[in-house]
This record gives sequence, C-alpha cells and structure tokens, in this order.
Amino acid sequence: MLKQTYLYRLYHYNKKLFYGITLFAGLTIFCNVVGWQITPFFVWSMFSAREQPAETYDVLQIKINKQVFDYTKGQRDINRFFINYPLNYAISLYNRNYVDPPNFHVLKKYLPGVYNSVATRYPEFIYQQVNLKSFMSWYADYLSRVLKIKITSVEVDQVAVHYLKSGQLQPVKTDTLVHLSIR
Amino acid sequence: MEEKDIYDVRKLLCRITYSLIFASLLYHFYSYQWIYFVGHQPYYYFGEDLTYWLFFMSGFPQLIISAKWLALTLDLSSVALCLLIIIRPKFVWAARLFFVLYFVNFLLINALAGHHAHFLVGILLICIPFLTTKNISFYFLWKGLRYLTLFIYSCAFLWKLLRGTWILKGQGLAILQSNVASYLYFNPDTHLAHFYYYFLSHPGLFTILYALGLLLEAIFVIGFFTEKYDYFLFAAAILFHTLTFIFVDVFFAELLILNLTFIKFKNFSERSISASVICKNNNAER
Repeated sequence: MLKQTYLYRLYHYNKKLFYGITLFAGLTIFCNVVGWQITPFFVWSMFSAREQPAETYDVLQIKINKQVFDYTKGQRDINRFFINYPLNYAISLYNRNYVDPPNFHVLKKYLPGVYNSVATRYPEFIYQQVNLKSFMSWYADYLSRVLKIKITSVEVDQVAVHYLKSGQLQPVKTDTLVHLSIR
Repeated sequence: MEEKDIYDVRKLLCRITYSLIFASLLYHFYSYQWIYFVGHQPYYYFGEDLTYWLFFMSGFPQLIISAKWLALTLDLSSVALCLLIIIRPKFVWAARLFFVLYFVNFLLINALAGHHAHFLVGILLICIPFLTTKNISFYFLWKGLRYLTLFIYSCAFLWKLLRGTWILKGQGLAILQSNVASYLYFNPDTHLAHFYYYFLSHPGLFTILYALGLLLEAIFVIGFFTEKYDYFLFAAAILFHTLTFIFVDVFFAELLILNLTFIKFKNFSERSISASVICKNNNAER
C-alpha cells in the first residue's frame, strides 16, 4: 500500500522534486502551526479568530461631493476591496500618528536589534512620510476613475452602530475622520 | 499511461487554466485593480510577512510604481504572456516569466491594498506545475497541488477546531454582525437586509449554518485518502464560497481555480503511471 502513495512514487521518480515538495509542505505546516505567514507559506485560518458580539461596530461612511456613497451596492467585490482596505489602513496609520506602523511590532518585540537596523537603513518603513491628506488625494483620484465622476470633495466619517434585537442597526455616534476639498 | 497521455492532459489543463487567468486579468482591468491604476497609493502594508519586507527593501517595487509606464508594462506583459501560453502551451519559458510577473503583481497589490488577501493565491499556486518542462514532473506537481488545495480547506477547519471557535457561544453571530454591518447601514430596507435581519434575530439558525460551513471544510480531509469523492469536493468548494459570499460578503473567486485539481482525467492517476515510465525517466536523467 505504501508503494501506491503519492510520496513514495514521487521519491522514486525524482528525489530533488520530492525534497522540494516536502520542504514546501513542511514549511507551510510550520507557518500554520505558529500562525506566522511568510509568503508563499500561507496561513489558512479563514474566519477562525475568536469573536464575540460587540456593543458597537464601526462603519466607514464616505461622502463624495457631499453625497453619501454606498460602496456596498453596485460595486464588484474586488472594487470594494480597494475602496475599503487602503482607507482602513490609512486611518489606522493616522490614529498612530504615522509612526511605527503595525508592520513591525513583532520585529520590535522579538528582534529589537534587527528592528533598530531596519529603522536606521529604511526609516521610511517605520515612519510613514506621507500624511492622510496626501493619501486622500490619491483616494479621490482613484474613486473618480472607478465611479467615472468628477470629485470635488471627499469626506470620511466613522459611524458607530449598535444592533437591536430585531437585527436592525441604530447609529450611535458619528466622527468625521477626514475631509478633503479638491479645487 | 505513457508520457504522451500526460502531455495531452497537460496541454488541455494549461489552456483551461490560463484562459481562466486571462479572464481574471481582464476582470481586474475593468475593476481598476492593475498596478497601473493603484500604484500611486502612498502607503505600503507589510504586516508580519518577511517576504514583503525583503521585497520592498530590494527597492524593486518602488521602481515599478514610481513610473506609470513601468507599471503598465508589467500589467500588459502579464496579459500578453498569458495569451501566448494559451496559444503555445509548450512555451514553458513564458509560463516561468508569467509566474515571476504575477508574483510581483501579487505582492504589490496586497501591499498597496493595505491587506494581505488570499484570493489571488489560487492563481499564483496553480501556475507552479506549468513551470516544469518534464511532463511526469508536471503530473506530480499537479497532484501535489491537489493535496495543497485539500490542506487549505482542512487547515481552516483545524484552526476553528483547535481554537474552539466551533463551540464558542456568539461566534457565528459576531461574524455575521461584523461583516454585514456596512450593508445594513446603507441598505436597511432591501430583501437581502430582511434576510439578514431574520438570521440576526435568530442567532441559533446562523450557528447551524456556521457548523455547516465547518463541516464543508472538514470533508476535504477525505481527499487525502481517496480520490473517489473529488467531484463532491469540487461542488463542496463552490458551495462553501457561495455561503461565505452571502453571509460574510467575501467571494474568493480566484481561489476556486484550484478546483481544477479535483477534475479527473482518464489515465491521469497514480495507479496509471507505470513503473516503466518512472524508471525510463530515472534512467534518462542519469
């Protein structure tokens, strides 16, 4: 029965290929066990993070030319990927004052010597050089291209919403994160 | 099974695979997801992934996105190579070059998006078997990819099992609430909204669905022991992604390309590779 297995046949066909494939498999399993993704050894945890229902959830409200833009409808799933994620990341950087992005926390904690070396040689990785307004200029330009409209202003609000027992949402608080006017 | 049989299957798989990749590239173009369109996004997200750190430390991605013509060249070259491979599957050099360009594209898109998504991984991985000139090596790499596909879904199941999220009260409800909040905020009165309200007000029902999703992931373990149920697994993957699209508003369409590894071809199985073919190849290498 062993002789019928994939690995046995592979080993007897080409040892280099066998060692290559088993090394890839081993590293993929290792990265999944420790939960540390290093491309191309991907971690496949897919919605397994422990979550509990929260009191409020944050919804990004984008106003384009003073009109609320519903990015949940009429956009392809892939469009929404680039509408939401870069904005979320930019806001998280803004909230940390652009310093020490989430990228390097692990490095700083476990390998401080390496972190200091990276910070010295590549300061632009640790201290983001571009502020939120510059990001918003790019973002407005990108939205203009996707939506095929001329954009004169973009405003991003963070709306905290609470779920009622019926499942409906009740807005609790709205904070304006950034407003950009384009002339 | 002679090597010619493998080559015939390889040629067919090559054309199907790269046709789907070509469709994906066009879809990304019409969705403004080429590096040419998003390259000037000023922030890069590395996360904890060493590959991204090293990639950006090389200076190469900054060079590509600094000049729009370079970014456009990368995008158009990917499309051109894809078409060439469809027309001439024998051009392994084109497959290798495409793989390099797509890997660069993959890293750049994820870094610029501010999130390391997995949906493009399917295309990256399915290109690997086509990098070899030897048909028997292609066979083993293709079958290896089938095991990796099984691992992807089984691993997701094991993560949930070991983290205990499958028995955590409120887990299913929390996932649904966090993922549909945006849709419900903007569209509180659509049919889909009322569909979500029903599950949100009956969390036990969604818990059952969550368990079903878990089961769908778990059944891929069977594939490690037998190929008999591969068509069932093919359908299970599509059902799983459809459910995640409806309830979690995420659709990993490109990941479904790995479903091709579940399609069976006559004489394209481990039992069919004769020992004589393997020995002939071993002797040829010596």
